[in-house]
Amino acid sequence: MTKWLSWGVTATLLIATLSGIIISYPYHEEHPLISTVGIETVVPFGDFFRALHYFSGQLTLLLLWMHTVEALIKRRAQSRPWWSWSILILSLPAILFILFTGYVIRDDETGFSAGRIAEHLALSIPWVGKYMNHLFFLVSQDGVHRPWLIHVYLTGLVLGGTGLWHFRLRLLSLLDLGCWATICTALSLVWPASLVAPQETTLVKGPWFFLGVQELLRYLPPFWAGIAYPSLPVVCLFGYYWRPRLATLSLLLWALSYGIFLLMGACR
Amino acid sequence: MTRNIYVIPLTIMIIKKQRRWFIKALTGIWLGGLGAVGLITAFSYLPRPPKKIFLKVKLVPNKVIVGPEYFLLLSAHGPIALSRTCPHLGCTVNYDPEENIFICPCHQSRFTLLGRYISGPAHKDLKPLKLKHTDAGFVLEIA
Repeated sequence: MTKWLSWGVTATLLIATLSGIIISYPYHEEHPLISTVGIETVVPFGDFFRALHYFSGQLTLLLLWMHTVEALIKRRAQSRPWWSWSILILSLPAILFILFTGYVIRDDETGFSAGRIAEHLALSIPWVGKYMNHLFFLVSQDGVHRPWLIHVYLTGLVLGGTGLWHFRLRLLSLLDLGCWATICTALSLVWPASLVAPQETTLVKGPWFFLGVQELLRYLPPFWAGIAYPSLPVVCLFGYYWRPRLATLSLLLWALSYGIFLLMGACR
Repeated sequence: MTRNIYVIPLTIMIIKKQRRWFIKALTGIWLGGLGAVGLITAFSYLPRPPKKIFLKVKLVPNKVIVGPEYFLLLSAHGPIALSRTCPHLGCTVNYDPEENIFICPCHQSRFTLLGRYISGPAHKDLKPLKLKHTDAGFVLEIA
């Protein structure tokens, strides 16, 4: 199970990167929505490669999440050095951020709103918020330029960081890659990658993993709902190395509460 | 002679160590300088002047003109322009003709046609925009 999951993460991330390289050529950050629509409608097999990129990215997040849960259940933190555990933990928010910026850079209804919300959430961080916004977002002034850069650079970093760790153990077998490529291809052939046209609507839903935060933002101030609350599981996962019981309990409580908010957001 | 046997290799060792230390320090300074310059470049942006839009439209009572970044309408006090940016988290506010109010689609903050806050997490009014009426039309300033 462990090998299946860890190689699954590597394989899907590799597929996402390769398909991302292909669709990055017809994509233009100055005209993000137009070029994304162009990929879907004009570029030969563009819709397929975009769907492949989309689904392989989603699978990477899901598999990495499962890999982390499995590592917690099997208490792998204790048998690893702290830095190895930290890399695994850091890869989770990094993949989430890559996926989130992926939504932002297509600049459709969902992406546009997600970018604006992310910018304001970054600004709500005390002292360093302005700098964080300048580094990662600044969408209101600079369009999707920065999220696009982060999307590309961070993918390279994560692939280098986690991929090297796994490639150091053994080479990714063609069988593993083939299996995951088949799953991603099947998903891409059945469902299109999401793209929501800008419209005069009274309800916009964010990316599926962001729905819980979106719901919570209706009740709590931006910093607590959008920064502190989503950071809690990362802090708990780091803390798991030293205080496993307390961290596990906190993680379970957080997961339960987030599940409720996510359902509430999805049902709107 | 005996002294030189010890002194010469020691001097070479010190020079070598110093050279290594010097190269290390130089690399550190260069990398630090590069990082600092990069950060300054990334962070230092001059404030941009407000965008001005010229609009040649005729305002009619009870009709809202929805622009990409603004609402323009004729109120009882004359023409007004409002920003479509939600004061909560910056989403683009939409006009709901059924309820005749402005609604933020992200977190459901509601505003009157004058931009006054009604409900939702925004807790602030929509930002009014500078509007200048000329003979040829309206000049709108979007900050």
